[in-house]
Amino acid sequence: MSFLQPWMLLALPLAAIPIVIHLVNQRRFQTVPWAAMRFLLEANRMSSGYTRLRQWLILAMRTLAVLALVLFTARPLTSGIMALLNGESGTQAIVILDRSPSMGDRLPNSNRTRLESAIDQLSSTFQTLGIQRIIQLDEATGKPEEFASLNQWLRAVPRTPWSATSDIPGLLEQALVYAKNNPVGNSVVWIGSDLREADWRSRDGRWAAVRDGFKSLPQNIRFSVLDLSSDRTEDRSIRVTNAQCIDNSETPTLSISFRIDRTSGSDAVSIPVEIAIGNSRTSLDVNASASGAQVNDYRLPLPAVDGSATEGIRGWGWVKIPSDGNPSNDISYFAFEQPPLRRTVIVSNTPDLVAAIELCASIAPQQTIRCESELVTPSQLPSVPLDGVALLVWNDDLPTGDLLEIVQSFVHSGGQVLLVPPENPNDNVAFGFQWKEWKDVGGVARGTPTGVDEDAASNTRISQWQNDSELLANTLNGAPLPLGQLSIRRLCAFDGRATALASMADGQPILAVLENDGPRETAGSMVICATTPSDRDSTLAGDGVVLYVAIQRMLAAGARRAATIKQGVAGVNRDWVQATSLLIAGDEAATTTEYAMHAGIYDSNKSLVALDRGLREDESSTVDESALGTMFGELNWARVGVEGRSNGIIQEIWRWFVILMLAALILEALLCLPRLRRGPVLPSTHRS
Amino acid sequence: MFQVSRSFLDPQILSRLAAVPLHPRHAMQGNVSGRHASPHRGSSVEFAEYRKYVPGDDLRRLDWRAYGRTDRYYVKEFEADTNLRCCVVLDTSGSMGFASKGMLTKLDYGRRIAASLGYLAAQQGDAVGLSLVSHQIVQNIPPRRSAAHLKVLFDTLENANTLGETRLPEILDELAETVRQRALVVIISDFFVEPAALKRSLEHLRFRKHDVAAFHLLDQQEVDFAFGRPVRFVDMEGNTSLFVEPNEIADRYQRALQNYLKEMQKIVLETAVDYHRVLTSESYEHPMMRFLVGRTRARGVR
Repeated sequence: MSFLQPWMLLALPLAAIPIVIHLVNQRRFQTVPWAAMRFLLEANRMSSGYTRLRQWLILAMRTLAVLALVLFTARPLTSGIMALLNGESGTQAIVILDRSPSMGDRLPNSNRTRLESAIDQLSSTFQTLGIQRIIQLDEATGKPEEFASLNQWLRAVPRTPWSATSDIPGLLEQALVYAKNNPVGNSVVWIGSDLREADWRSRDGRWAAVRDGFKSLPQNIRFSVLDLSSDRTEDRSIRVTNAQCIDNSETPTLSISFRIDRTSGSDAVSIPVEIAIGNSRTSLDVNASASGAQVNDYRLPLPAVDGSATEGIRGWGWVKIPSDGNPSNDISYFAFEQPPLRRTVIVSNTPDLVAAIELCASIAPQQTIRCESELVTPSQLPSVPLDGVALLVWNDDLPTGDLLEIVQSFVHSGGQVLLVPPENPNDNVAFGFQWKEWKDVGGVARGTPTGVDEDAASNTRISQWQNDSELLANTLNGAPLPLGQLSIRRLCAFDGRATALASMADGQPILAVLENDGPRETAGSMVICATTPSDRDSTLAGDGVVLYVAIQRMLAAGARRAATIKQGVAGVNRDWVQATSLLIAGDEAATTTEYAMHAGIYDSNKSLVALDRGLREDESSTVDESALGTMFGELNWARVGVEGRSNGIIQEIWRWFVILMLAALILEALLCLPRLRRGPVLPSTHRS
Repeated sequence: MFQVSRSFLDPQILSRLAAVPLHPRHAMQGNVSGRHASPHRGSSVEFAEYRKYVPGDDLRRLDWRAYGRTDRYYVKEFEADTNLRCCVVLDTSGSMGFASKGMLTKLDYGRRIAASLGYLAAQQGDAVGLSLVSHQIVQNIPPRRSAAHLKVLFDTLENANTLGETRLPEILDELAETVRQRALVVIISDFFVEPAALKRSLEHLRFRKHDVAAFHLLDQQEVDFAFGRPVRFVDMEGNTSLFVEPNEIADRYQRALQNYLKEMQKIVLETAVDYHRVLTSESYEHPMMRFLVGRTRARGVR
């Protein structure tokens, strides 16, 4: 408990006045000659238990009344359990502010956002508690920032949310590191948040480490969760789910899909949506149900912006709905470009073996995508420009010398390489990999003449494959690729560090990813296919679905290296945007160091980067008291600022002391009331 | 005659009280003829009964008319009227000196009642005596009828002082034996004695066929026990003192007082005492008037 006028506590000794008066009164007796002494003596012999108790109660009530009066004049402050928490908090506080977009939601009947409310409440609390040193944990920089005074903190603390989903366990890890490295003493970690599950990540494994870490600290760290989750009003949000350029006609068009979500709407409404492509604007009305609306493949002609015949078409834009309580989720950014040409270069001296691959690489999966393939011999490769190539298929002896360097450079720049065994592999070693000899698997494939036993046939099947890998992942509708229907008649063993993606029954890998020493983030992958699509070796060509899907997936991955736009999520794809990037559209108040945390369009290293708010920001679920209890475990924590405390964490509670004083006085008066006499003192004065 | 300057006599009150005669509740046995019923036959005009003549009877009292009708000798008897012997017993023990602030002491109050009674009795020709008692009989004036005696009585009352502790039961026993039978005994006291002992004494007086009346004097403060701060009470009849927090003990004091008063009520009912509980805060005229009027209603039988 703290006080607005603590000097009034100097008057606390006044509470002893009733006791002093009692003692003085005991000494200030009068002497009275008394006739009816026999009644006094008799009364003295009677039991005095209740009477004595009553006297002590009266004295206690009087003392309590004076005490309550003094405390009332001192204007006590409290925040429930926080009063206890602040008992030893000292003069410093560690602050974690949830700056997720949901904290930009305006409080009902107020112009303040939840973030501003959190800052105001914390400021008021710190001022009241006399806290001067504030350590603010910054998610953008990952470093704690210290402020020597409250005013300094108030000047520096950002009052606008960013677009990234907060990482509360990560911030607490920061706090733990700070507490370990700095002599913070007994402190309170103040967490201002609207308790969104997306920010708190209650199932995150780091919570256990946070709990154990803080428990092991010698100092007593307490946690105050400033709850700003109450009083949610209807919120509408919009998010672009897909934006792609279609250039199969004279006028290139933009196909855009977006989703509108409503949190607590009840009636269908028409929501005006404004769409911007570059500097041009258009709008449409979307009929939204109670839960929202989904608009798919809305096409807009692309204006002649930022495109030329040589560079292709690319651009950026945003979709926006009218501002509501939370403006941060009323806009969604996107970038688009003409899909790059998916080029495939097949290096082979035996065209028949790779004919099926060439065919798969030439057929585009969508109208908007263009594919082409080129068959070259190893000797022709140096003269082939690989800049726009997405996939390189190598069906020859493993490259050496200059060819090896070309292939390595291609892989390191993000290209995809598919290694297909030659008819007669030699002893060449490349990338720590070497082809061995061919061997027959045995059995026959589906549709071949019968006469082979079933065991032999099952040996030719692919028995297991990783459907969580990008290459062999299930289809969009969740169905697995039909690898089990393939029949492998002959395969070429290999030696090298590779991770098997698909294996035969005897464990022999048929499809594997070769480990390479390129940079993990940008390097492409090298996939080994231990057989060829020819009918002699496998049914990859006959059952072409698997081959086609795998080739197209490798092409899509390889095409990304040629893309000049990036669509990401603020706070997640932090490396895409640097402080030197140029903000094209977005929050102009954002500092350059926080660009990666704000949604918007950025020009970063000639790439167009569109950052949107965190994907989980559209989830409205919050963590409740029990979830908080699970997360904090045995740590000393408290939830403050809940319902009915929207005007501050710390509140004056003088009313309670007035009530206490009045109650004490009333009780004292009741105790002092003379007992009701059952009859007259002199019941009968005459009898004759 | 009495002196008007007596502080304990108020002529106006006396004149009002004198309008109501003082009657005993029973037949009294006086010395001379008077206005009160006597247990004996006498020469009043009030016929009592016929009785057979026995040798030795005064022949003048024979009823010749009855002899003429019945041929038998009958003696005609008449009621005897006698005077009243009123013995006033005034308690002068230490406790009678108590008085609330600005009020009369119980002794002063009792003095007024005793003087008034003496005056009223003397006025109607009755004999009146006075006994001042505390731990013993301090002064005893036997009942007499003369006017000079009334002066002695008043002088004694005027000089009465409180002293010593109360031994009222023993003294009443002594008076019961010494006062001749069939007298009006008026006890004026605060009766701060053991009720059981007092009961025995009153029964003794009743046994001696005395008409016993009691004025129980109580001070208002003794009843209310209203004190604001701690008090050291000093016994007025001894050296005992008691330090008391009045707020703590008031309830129990009241309980003890009530018990005592109920006990007194029971005793006076059982002993047929003409009992008057009097607060000294009220004028003594009222209890006196109640006393006199009550006796008029219950005028004694022979």
